[in-house]
Amino acid sequence: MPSAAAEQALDSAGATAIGIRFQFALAWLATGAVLGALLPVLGVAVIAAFNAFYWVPIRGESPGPEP
Amino acid sequence: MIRWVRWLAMARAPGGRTGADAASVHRDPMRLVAFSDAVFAITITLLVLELRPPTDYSNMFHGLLALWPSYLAYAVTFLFIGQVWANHHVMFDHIRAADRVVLLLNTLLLMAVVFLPFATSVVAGLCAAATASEPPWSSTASRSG
Repeated sequence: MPSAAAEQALDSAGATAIGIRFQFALAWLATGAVLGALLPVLGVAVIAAFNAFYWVPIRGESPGPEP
Repeated sequence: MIRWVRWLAMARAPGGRTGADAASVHRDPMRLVAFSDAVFAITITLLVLELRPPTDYSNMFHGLLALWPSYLAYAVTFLFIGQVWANHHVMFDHIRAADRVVLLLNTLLLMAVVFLPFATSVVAGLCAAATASEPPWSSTASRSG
């Protein structure tokens, strides 16, 4: 549940878009770092896949028209 | 001194109200975005400095080809910083105000981004070392030959 300050600063569509966007980001990057420590080329491949995934736009990421 | 602190508090509080919670003061995120864009731009430009030209000019083409780990690390990191910037840009289309928490989190993000040229250099070195190391059977074969 967002705080009152967060509700004023961020609309619900934005919160949903940002939440979906970054739900797996840290885990994905950590996996890439761990695999890269074991086998550097594999880590580079995981990070390259991360790049490809996060370049793709998602639904709701663009804010709606101003009320 | 006290008068100066009171003036500073009034200047920071919205509408000139004193005693406002600093964490809940809402600021336009324009300066935060401008500062972040500058950091992203500098960092993404610094990446190219990690590409060292070959020292052996007698076989330039081979020397340039041997730099493939650096090219790979450069390309992946450039695209990585690019997508972080793009998502930062999209995210701040939604954010209408920046409080202390947003400022802190954004600073931590920039700290990680600025570290990336160093990480790129390490990854390029690791890939180069992994490909340069000869398997045991080849060294045995060269000794016997």
